[in-house]
Amino acid sequence: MTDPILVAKEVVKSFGGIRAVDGCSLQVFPSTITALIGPNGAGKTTFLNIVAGLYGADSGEIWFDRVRIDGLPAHAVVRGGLIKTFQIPRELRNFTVLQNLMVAAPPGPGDRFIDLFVRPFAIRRAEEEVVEAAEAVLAQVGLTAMRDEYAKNLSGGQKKLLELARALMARPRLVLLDEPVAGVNLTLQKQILQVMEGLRARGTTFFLVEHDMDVVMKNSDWIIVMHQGRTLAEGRADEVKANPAVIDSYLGG
Amino acid sequence: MTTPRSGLRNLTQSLTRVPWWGTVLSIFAVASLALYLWMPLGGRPLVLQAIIQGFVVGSVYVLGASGLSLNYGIKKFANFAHGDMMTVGAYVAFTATAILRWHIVAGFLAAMFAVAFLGIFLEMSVFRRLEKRGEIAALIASVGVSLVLQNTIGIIFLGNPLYMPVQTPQDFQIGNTGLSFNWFKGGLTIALAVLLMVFLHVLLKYTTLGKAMRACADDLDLARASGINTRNVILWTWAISGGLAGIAGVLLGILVNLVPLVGFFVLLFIFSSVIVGGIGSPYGAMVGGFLIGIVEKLSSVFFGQLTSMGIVENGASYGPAGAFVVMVLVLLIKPEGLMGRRRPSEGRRRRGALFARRIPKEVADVGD
Amino acid sequence: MAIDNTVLFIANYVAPASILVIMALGLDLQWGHTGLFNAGVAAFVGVGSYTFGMMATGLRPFDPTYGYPGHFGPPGPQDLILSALVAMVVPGVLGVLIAVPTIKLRADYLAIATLALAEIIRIIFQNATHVTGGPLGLDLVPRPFARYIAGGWPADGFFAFLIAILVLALVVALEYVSRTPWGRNLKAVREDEEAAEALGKDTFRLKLGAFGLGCAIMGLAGALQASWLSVVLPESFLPFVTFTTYVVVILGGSGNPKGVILGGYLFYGFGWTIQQVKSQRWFPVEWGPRIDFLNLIVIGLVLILLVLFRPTGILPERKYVPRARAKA
Repeated sequence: MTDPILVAKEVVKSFGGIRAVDGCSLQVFPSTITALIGPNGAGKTTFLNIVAGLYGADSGEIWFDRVRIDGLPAHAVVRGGLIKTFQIPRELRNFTVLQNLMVAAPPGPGDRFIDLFVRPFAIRRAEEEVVEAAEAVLAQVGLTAMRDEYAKNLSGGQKKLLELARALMARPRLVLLDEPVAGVNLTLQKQILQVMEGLRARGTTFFLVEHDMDVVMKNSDWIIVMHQGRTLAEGRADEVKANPAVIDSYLGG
Repeated sequence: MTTPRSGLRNLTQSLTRVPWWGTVLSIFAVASLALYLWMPLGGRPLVLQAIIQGFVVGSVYVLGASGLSLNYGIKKFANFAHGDMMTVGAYVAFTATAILRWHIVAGFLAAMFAVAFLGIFLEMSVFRRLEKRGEIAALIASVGVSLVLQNTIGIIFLGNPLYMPVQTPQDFQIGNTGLSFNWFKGGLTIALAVLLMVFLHVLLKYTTLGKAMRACADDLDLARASGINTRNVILWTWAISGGLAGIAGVLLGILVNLVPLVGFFVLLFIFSSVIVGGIGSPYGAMVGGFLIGIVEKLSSVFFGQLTSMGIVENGASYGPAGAFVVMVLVLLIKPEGLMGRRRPSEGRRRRGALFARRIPKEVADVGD
Repeated sequence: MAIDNTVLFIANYVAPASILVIMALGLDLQWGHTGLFNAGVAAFVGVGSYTFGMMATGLRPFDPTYGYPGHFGPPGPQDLILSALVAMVVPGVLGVLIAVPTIKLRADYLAIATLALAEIIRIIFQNATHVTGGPLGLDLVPRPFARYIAGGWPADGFFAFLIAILVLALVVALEYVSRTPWGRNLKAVREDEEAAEALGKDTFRLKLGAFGLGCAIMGLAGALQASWLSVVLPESFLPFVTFTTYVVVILGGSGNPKGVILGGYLFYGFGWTIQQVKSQRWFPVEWGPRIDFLNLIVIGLVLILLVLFRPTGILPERKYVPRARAKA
């Protein structure tokens, strides 16, 4: 029995008077595509933001691969191997697609100011490697043709792909995806899911929030249902589909 | 889990549960009393003098800040030309009274209308086109407007100090306390400020336009969707804020003298008043204006005393520094000021790139 | 034309224009690259000026009749380099200290806060007479190699030459920085700070670094100005200086060091041309002050027009397109 890669214990977050996340505890296991589903207002996106370090939890613990990450700022969480995409893509508009990916590369020489004047040759070599890696990821998601386009000129679906590609550049072990296929046409959807499946087979874990039940049921290894700020049920697709509490609160009968 | 930062937040939250005037009065009273007691006996009248002068100069700030606050609330950018709009008002009044030999009241009216129309002109020619471009673009454009305004005045009137032709009675000495108060200048300034603030309050609270203005400041898109003619409301806001600025300029010209930079010199004080009082709250600006004026004058007394004690040189000149320090502290600790509302953090998402498109009103990431 | 006049003529354009360019390069790093709206440029330049002045002027006792404060030690060529370095470090450190609490502010609040702090600093310059010389300021700030080069046109010419090389070095360095990951991270912060944070960048540290480095560059400009003018006066550091620097950055092309240089030399050239026209007496003398006002009106209009129609400036940032690698 493998250890979970992500463990949340009794996470609580309130905004004003509203408890968006109300004592949520869950586990995500490595090399899986795990889905987090639930009705609007269930607290899913808030929970993802807390795990990623973009919000601070009011209380509770979050463990990533046996390292406690709640309270860490987002950039530190990313450096630990956990990255999140945005529901509405946050592309760097005046950067090219390639540059967008290069920004996401793991830290190397040249990220620290001192290195700029002490190790210029190492930086040049590292830059070439980063460009190569970025081009590889572009090929993976099928955006090679847009390499030198400004990100603001991309279509909505392409921005979604870019969002995913950027996350992959950081060579994460766990990727949090906030509605990765929302508003995306079927071909692109298939492409995205293919990429995810390929990476899952090689050890990356995906934890996604998604509303498209078709996509969720067909592609997830495990589904966690969230309702009113805490977990309601979890299991494989067929189990969850048949769970009466889940049907009641979310899937409709 | 309580951290030191959340402890401080709890403290400020409980402070704000006191009604705003409670906080203001107590801070003011404590500070003045402390200063009064600390000063040597001979210097104590200076504290009272400073408070009175603070109200006078604060009145000018109030007029400028309330206009700026109205503008900021709707247009969502800091208008760096506001001070120079005041200068325009002052020089228009000068032209009316010294050159055309009108009565001072006509001078006030001329200034009010002139700057009101100037505001409308600026909106239609410059700032309307920058609405989609974010607050920094408008800010920089307003710096350009500021340069144009102050130097147009310069080119017409040149840089020599001019004096508003008003007969002012001598300063009134209050007994033998060594205090003096110029009834005409000081009294007029304070009275006008109070009068106009009452007018503004009535406007905002009881008239259709006022309610529309508040609605637009709150949520422009929603206001437009509910049928308010936002174009007109924006123009009216510029007119009113311009009118207030014009009158403030005339008063400034009466209190000191006229140089092309007279309004720009008070710009930072007006920003300070708006920030301390609370961005987006004209009532806050009213309070902030007096507060900043008094802080400025009291600081001058305080540092002046330090000079007498040999600690600092030229302390009396540090009055503005005291006011600005208060403003910066408010910005850092309680950015919504005394009466403003906490702004959402959306402003911090995208940086002030000059050519940024305005952030679409995304559904906040909360709530899914 | 005689050589001395030619050299003076050129030097009197190159030196002050280059000082403006260096200021603008510092601001470009803060605002053009990182999106930090620092409205306190004048103060950091001033701190650099006063620091250099204090360090580079001779040791002499405070003379109350003259009002000139004595400072830190006899100048020599190596001491001037040290003074210049200190004149970069002090504003740099001051910038970081100021940035720590304020850098989180929204752009317009940061503008107001830095403007206010700059004014406080200027008031200190104006009033701390025993330290800064008050309204009279500092005097007799030396030129580099003053012992070996005669005054007048040789000194001016040499100084202009020196400063032009500095500008060149600075531009090369900043272009390089722009292309490194660190420089790219700064621009990412400018584009979308939260996204940059979510991609693993420590935006706080990046902003502090950019702010501090930019202030150090401004300090260098201040030091050079002190040496060029040989005096340091508080009225040289009014907010107008800050606004002028912004015009240069926007005119030339924010985010593009080469553009900023172009903008700087062009902008200074415009003002300088006006001064030449005035001195040639092509217009009646009493129009003099009016011409100065007109000059500033034009600058204001240029700024408005730039913002409205060409915010990217003359030389916008170039698109980054690395050489396509041969496909294996």
